[in-house]
Amino acid sequence: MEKEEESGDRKRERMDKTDNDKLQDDSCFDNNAANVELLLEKVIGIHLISVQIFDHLDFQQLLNCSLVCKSWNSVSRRVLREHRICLGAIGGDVPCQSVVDLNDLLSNSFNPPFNGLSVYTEPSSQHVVMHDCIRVNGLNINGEIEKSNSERLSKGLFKRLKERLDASNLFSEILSKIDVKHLEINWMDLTTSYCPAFQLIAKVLLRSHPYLQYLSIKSLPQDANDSLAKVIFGDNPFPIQWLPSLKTFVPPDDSDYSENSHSVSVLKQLLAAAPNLTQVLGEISDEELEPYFEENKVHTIRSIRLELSLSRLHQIRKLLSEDYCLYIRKLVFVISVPVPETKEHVYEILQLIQQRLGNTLQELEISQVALVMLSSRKYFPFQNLTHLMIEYDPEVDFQKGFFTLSAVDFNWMFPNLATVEIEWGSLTIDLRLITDELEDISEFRCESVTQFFISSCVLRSTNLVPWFENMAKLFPNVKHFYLNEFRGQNFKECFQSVWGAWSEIENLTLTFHSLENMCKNYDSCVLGLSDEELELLFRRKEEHRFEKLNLVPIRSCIFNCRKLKKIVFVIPPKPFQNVDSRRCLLSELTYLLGLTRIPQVTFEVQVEFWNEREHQQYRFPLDHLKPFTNLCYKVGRLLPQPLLSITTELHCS
Amino acid sequence: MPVVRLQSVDGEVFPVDVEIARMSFAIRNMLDDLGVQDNDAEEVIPLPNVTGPILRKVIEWCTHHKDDPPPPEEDDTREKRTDDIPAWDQEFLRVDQAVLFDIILAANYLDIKGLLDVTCKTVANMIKGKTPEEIRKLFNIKNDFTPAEEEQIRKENEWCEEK
Repeated sequence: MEKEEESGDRKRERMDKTDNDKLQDDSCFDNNAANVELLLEKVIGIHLISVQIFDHLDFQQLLNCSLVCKSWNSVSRRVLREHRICLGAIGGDVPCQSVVDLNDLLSNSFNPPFNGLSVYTEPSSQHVVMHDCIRVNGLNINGEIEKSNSERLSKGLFKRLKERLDASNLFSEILSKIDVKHLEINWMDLTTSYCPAFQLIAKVLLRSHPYLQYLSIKSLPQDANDSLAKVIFGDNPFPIQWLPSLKTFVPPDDSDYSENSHSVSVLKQLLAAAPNLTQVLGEISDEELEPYFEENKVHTIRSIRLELSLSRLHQIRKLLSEDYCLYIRKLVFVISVPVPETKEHVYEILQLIQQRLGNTLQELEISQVALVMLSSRKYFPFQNLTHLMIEYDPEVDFQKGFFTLSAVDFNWMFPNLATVEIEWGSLTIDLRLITDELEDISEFRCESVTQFFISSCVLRSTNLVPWFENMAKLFPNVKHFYLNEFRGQNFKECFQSVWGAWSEIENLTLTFHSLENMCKNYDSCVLGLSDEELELLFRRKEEHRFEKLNLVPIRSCIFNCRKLKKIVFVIPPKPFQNVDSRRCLLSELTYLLGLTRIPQVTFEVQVEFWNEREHQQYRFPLDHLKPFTNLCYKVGRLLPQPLLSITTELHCS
Repeated sequence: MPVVRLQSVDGEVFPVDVEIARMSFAIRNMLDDLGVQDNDAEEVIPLPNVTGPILRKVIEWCTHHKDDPPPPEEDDTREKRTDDIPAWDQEFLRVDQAVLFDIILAANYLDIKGLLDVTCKTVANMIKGKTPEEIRKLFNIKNDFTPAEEEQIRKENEWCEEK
């Protein structure tokens, strides 16, 4: 510290000197390199400023900054620990081995970036490894391990593990250094709370419940639902408000509720235990509202699913009444009142939604029918809404003989809308609900939308081109287009149709899921040629000098989009099978006849992996794409949810 | 319009409308603490940490932004954007690095939240998308890690998982 102060004094002296020099040479600003260096040091040295700068950087950029120099490392690590959730991930095939590795890493670290741990296990066999390692190394266990697990224990791998590590000690060592503030539980197995891994979670809770600020419970062992507190505290007395610091709670998923009514009891217990709760993240269903009313916690709801039916009308009215302060940011609105006789109820709730949520809502998921109804009676615009997901049934348009979305006044309803997602669905709604609404209407456009997501269509292929054209007319300023493969349907036709509809797009991202579509060739879509023409060109590629060949495609193609900058293919790491992999996705014809003619366009293939090991084993088979492809590997996006993740502040010695 | 006189470290004196000067919380507190009235036009406030050229820039920024609404309350859940710098500010901050850093230090010393915010965003934008080596080159920073230390940080980074 003394040294730092000395150097600080020296800096100040140098600063004074520089200032004096400035006065003498009478120049306005002093820009010599040494001065810049000094000023930057000073800027980075002031905590308030450096944190404000680094706080604008994303996770990866913060990691980059940590490698610049020691002072930048110190700031970026601090921002990661104090302003982000940065977890040391324990998992993979042998989770306990990664605990050992993490412990080694931490013991050599002078400034670790982590403020927590994420422990995940992949389903079944890997989970067993986790359990057994904890078991064999003597963590407090009250229950029995399934027989099959014990059998696995005898196998060589586990014997070796037993000899090499002591998982319980390692966990204790890591947990002894931390104050747990963030806990996420995702219980995948149908085990009981006697399961050793859950015992570990209970231990963490027992020690940290007064300090917990964030708690996420995706699901719990069955018996823990009845009284979570009992599992944690046993027969010992505990305060009713045993989560005094909890600010954020993520309750179990909606689907878990329907299968397991016990989750509602967990919810009640937790809402009652957390007097200072400010927000509940994750989607709440209108069926689960009662505990929020009872505990006076309606203001904590951020995301809700309202399914409008006669039986739930009362509950929804109550929620949207003036009695409660609402800070709901995301709404999923579903109409389950399928007959015209109840139409006025739908309008009543739509009006309440506009009045009560118009200022707070940022995301809305709604069917095209409800959207038409919402727009036909304008009470109040959704000023802050930026993301709209439309559940879309092409049958509605087909039956009405009309592109229904063009009846929605997007500009008025959603003045700041930026992203639209189309989700295909089958609407079980009586279309007489919107009979009057589609008469005498003008065709609207929505200028603010720049991002458009769609899954490949379930439309009949003959309707595809005009449908895309209608979409493009409605959202003419789309710059970023995302086409997601949906059950393998019409993917190629959709790809082809994009060119003709949106001539202004800058980025086109196609995500593949099925092996079938991944193994197809898309040169014809890019170049606007028929498969036969393409085959002919491919067979004669040795004879032609393609760089001199001018194509005049009759169909829409890449040349329609003169502002295009990037095409991205996102593919799963599946091996290409029974196909000529030289032709998969794109061949050199696309490069020679298309990409070379539009030099600003880059083509990227992203391969997404489940884990690091899969990444290391993967050999990219598309060598023929290498001359014109930028290959990116992404690990981790597809990772399963963590079994247990703990965010903490590590005591750095 | 009442005026205060701000004096830079190099002795230059700038008469500034009180309302504009009060955009600096440091000056606002000084005025309030001193009980300076609107008609005390001769009162000179010395600012020992700011040079004349930089003070001129700061006053220029404050003058342009004097009618801005107060900045919104800090909200941790709000996404930190850097693509929303107004065009005028972008042009105003098209200066050499030394001047930019000097303005940051002045904005911090004078406690002008809006100016500090926009200058920090500008520096963040300079860092974005760059490799460690490119950042070092941009700001002329020396790599003071030993190879072993650098390797340790790389390993740690590989372990990090964002939530």
